[in-house]
Amino acid sequence: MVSLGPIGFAAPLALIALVALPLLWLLLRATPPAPRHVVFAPLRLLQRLAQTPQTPQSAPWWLIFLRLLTAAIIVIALAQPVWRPADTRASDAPLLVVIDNGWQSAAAWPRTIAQARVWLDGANADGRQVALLLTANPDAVEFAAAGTVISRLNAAEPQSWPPDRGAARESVLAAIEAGTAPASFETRWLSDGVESGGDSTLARVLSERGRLTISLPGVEDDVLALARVDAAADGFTARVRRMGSGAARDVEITAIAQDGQVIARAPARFEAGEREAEASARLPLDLRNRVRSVRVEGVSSAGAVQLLDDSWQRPRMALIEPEGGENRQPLLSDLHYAEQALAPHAELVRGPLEQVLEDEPSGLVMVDAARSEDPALAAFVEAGGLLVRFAGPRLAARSDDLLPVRLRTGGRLLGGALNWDEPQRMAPFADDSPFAGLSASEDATIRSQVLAEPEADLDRRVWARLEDGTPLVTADRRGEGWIVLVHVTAGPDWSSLPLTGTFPAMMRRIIALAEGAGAGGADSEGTWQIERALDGFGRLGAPTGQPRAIPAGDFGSAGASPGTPPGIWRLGAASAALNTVRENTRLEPMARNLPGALYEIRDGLREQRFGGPLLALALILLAADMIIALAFAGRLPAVRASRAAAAGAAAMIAALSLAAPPPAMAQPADDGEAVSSDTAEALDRALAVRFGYILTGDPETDRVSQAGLAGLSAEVTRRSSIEPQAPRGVDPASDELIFFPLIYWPVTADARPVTDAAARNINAYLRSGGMIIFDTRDGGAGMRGGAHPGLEQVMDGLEIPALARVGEDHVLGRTFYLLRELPGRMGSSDVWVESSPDGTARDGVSGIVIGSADWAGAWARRDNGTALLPVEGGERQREMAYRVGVNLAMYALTGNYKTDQVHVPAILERLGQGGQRDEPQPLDR
Amino acid sequence: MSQPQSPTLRRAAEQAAAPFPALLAEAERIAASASLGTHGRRRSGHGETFWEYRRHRTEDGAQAVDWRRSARSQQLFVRETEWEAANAVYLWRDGSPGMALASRSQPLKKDRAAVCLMALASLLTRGGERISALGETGRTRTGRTGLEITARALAEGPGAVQSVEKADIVRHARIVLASDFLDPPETWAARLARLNASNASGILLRIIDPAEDDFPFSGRTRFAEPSGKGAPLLLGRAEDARESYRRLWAEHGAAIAAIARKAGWTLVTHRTDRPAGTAVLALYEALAPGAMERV
Repeated sequence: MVSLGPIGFAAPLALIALVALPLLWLLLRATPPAPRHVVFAPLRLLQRLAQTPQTPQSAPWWLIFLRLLTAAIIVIALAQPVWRPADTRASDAPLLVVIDNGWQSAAAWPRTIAQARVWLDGANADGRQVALLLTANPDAVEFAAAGTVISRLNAAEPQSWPPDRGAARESVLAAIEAGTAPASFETRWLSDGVESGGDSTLARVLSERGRLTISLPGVEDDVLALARVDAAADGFTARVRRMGSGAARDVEITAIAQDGQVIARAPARFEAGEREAEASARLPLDLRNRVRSVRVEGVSSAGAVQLLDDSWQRPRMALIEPEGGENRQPLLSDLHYAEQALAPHAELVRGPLEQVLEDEPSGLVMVDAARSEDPALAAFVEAGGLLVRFAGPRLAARSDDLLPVRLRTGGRLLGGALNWDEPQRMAPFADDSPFAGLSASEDATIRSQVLAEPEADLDRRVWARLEDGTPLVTADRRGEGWIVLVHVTAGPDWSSLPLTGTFPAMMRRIIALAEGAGAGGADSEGTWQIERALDGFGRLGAPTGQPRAIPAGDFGSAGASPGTPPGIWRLGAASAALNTVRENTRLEPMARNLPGALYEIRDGLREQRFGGPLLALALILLAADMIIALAFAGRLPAVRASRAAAAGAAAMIAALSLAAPPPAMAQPADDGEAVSSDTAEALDRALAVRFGYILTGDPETDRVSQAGLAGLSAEVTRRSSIEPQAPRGVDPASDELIFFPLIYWPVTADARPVTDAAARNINAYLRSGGMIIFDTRDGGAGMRGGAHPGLEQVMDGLEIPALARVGEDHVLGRTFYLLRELPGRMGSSDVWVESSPDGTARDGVSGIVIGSADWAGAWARRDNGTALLPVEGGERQREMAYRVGVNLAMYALTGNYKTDQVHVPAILERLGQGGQRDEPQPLDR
Repeated sequence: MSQPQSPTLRRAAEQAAAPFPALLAEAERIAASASLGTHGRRRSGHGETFWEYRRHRTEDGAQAVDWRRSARSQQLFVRETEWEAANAVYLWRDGSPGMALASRSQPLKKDRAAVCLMALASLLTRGGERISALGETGRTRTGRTGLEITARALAEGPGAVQSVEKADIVRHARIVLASDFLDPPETWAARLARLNASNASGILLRIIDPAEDDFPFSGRTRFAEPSGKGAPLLLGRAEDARESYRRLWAEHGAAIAAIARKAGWTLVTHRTDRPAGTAVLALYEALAPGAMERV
């Protein structure tokens, strides 16, 4: 490597090519751009001209400069420049690079790898032998050329378990024993900075063989771990740990659902010097149940993730069915009320006791009729289960052992016929009760209950009371589990509580106590198999490698390791999470006095290679050069080849700005609505007369309109001095209509009303002198039974003045041909125009013509000139239809010219000749 | 069995026939807008239609007196008929490779020339003149058949220069030559002189493509012969040559105009980006002076 100040070159020999630049300069000056080919008839004239010698045009200086610059950049890029090359102490001792690739490194992995790559590149340039040792999954140590090791480095990934430095030491020792490692080598250890067992023994082995440098992560790469997540009654709490104990730091915890949706966020703050922080989030149970993982936001590391499993899920509650079933109507059945109250918040199973226990529920619900003293029930509670009991006549008659309080025999009856007590109401819930915050129903009246024996610590176990202070709900722990007793029946026999909204709310609070069966599968048979594995960056995916199966009994003690990677494990129907970080995971900084080790901190300053960006720049310059060359050859239509010193960049900018001309605003319509259209489009429409037709959206109708107007245009061109271009379909809502002298509007019976924008546009068009021909195309059939349905819809938003039938003397019958009727494809039918167009701005020309004769159908032609549709009255009528069309076009374009009295004598004369009424009048007699 | 072939053949035939009807239609349209026809020469001469009675002059001779008219008055009258001499008009459209060129969105020079001549032919036929495509349709014809034959030759014929150089024409014929006149002026001078030798006279319709007139080229440009023969010419900066070229072009135009004037021919210059109608009017006006005013 050769260095020039802060820039080094990995391949300095390539710089020799810079010598060739002057040569390139000469070449560039001599080579003009490729010419454009033109076939030119008066070449002979031009050749006479060319006898004066034409010096070949040489590229301007700035273009040559641009090209030389491009060439120079390419040469420099090939020399592999390095900004601030790493300190590469000359040494040819073999190099062992040790990388901690446990989960602790994952967050800072890109920087770690970049550092390692710098070392390996340096070793490659110096020709040193290199070996790579990854401490989380240590392989055999093999020294090889750096090039092969770099490919291994590129494939290396952080693992989701902690590094095993003891195993790494074994690996080094094995290599030394087998002789694959040289007697002495230098070691660089990219550490994650976290202490683990075997640090000092590994350091000792390495430092005995040569210099050992330990590179510790910088402050910004502090290791964060999510230690545990606990469910709370109204959400969850999460504990975060960090390795450093520096300045205060805020992190955010997110709870994420199966589909990746973030359900909750909670902030956690490490106070300065503190290494643990807690975050708590409030989350309703149903949302909490959807949470599948909790993460530290923005930290991609397996340690910053806690996967949640069955134990987190909504509890599975079992309803114990009485033996022999419960022969009661549903609305009187205790089980029915319990089921309805629990169903929104828990997964329910129902059956006899033995059967439901096989489903491993988190809680059992036992109504009075199902009461049982099965030892399995006690065992279930002892093992952490929740037992919810409801009182009833049987319990009142005889209490048993599975109760939170001792009961007095007989119970209590309130408000009966022989009783002067009023039915009792519920007292508000105490603040220390799990029901705190719920409002006790005022409607609930309790007529019967079982009574607890007064005891010293009874208060502690009471969760809800009646107004007179007697307990309504009592609960107590039994072993790992809970027993909750509701002192009334689950049905409405004893109280109206089950009929109120308070009841399900209370049930919901109670079952929040239920732990999932979760690791409760501990004592069952079988082995856990991994289903989805967590990778080092904290992403769930298919398991890789060869994960072992974990015997059911050992799952609780299993930790993250290569054989048992963290992830979701499954045993039968149960799934459990194995997390990278557990409650007891230590996160201590590495000792700074490891034997024989030198320490350095990885700071942000690293050498940067910029050969790639330089090459990209060169490519951009080449592209610019191409565009400039095209401009010089005159092949860029929008760019006039810039003369003299206009810079290439300027030419490009000009090309870009010319390619997108600012949209011209068409003349605004009366009510201020401006329809913008492209200038070219506007010019195209404005410079040629053409007929328009309204696009109806029905392809067949539009096709006939198009063909009809095309046919009419051809006939009008042939017969008169109007020479319209091809007709256009227009959408009144978006197109500017002002360019069309007449617009043909086929109205179908199912036409929809025009939009407001379209109506404004059309009204403006009519006011400014346009003409629209409405054609219902049904020969008047649609108008016979009153208004034409489609026409009515269409006309609704338009400003239509009073209309009148076209009479014999209407100017429409004599603008070009003398016509008595105005037939189309359908034969003659009534045609309507404005009754008194004189008052309008259109100088006595009706802006609206309404007919039903399907004129376009009669005009329509195929491309080869043959008629598209048959006409009722044969070819004679088609000719008449064309004459109508010519008259309409003349009417639209010349207006009331023919109503002028000047023409009356000529017309009278023609009329007087008789039998020739339909012959054309010479226009300019 | 040969079912698939039939539409193909038919389409090929239609395509082959396509340009001619289009050209003919355009020519008809132009002709229609140009004139309503000229009937007779509108002057006294040899013909069958009565023109006027005029006073007898001494040089008329006795047999010229119309006795029936003269008997009604004291004067002697001569009955004059309208001059209805049919003229022979030869039309020639240059078919050299250079004529098959056009700037973008302009018609080929050849086609525009054909359109103008066909429109003129149509007008002339209506006027009763005899027409022929020079060197291609032989003797002059009149009527719709003559027009049809001539128009087809104008639209699709080879338009060889030999037709002009070895013209087989009746004496005193009128000739309309449509070309770009890019051959050297001397060549054209010689050709016109040969035609003049047979007492022919006529009109030169010079068809110009806008690119030839404006020379809109710039940058490095290689110019090639339309015929493909000869070495192409490479200009380093075509825009530099523009001024000189335009000067040469103007000189060439002046030379052609001078030749025409010297030979007594009328020169009508037409750019293909202008409407063909103006050229046809000019041609017609040149052939039948004053015809337009009378229409």
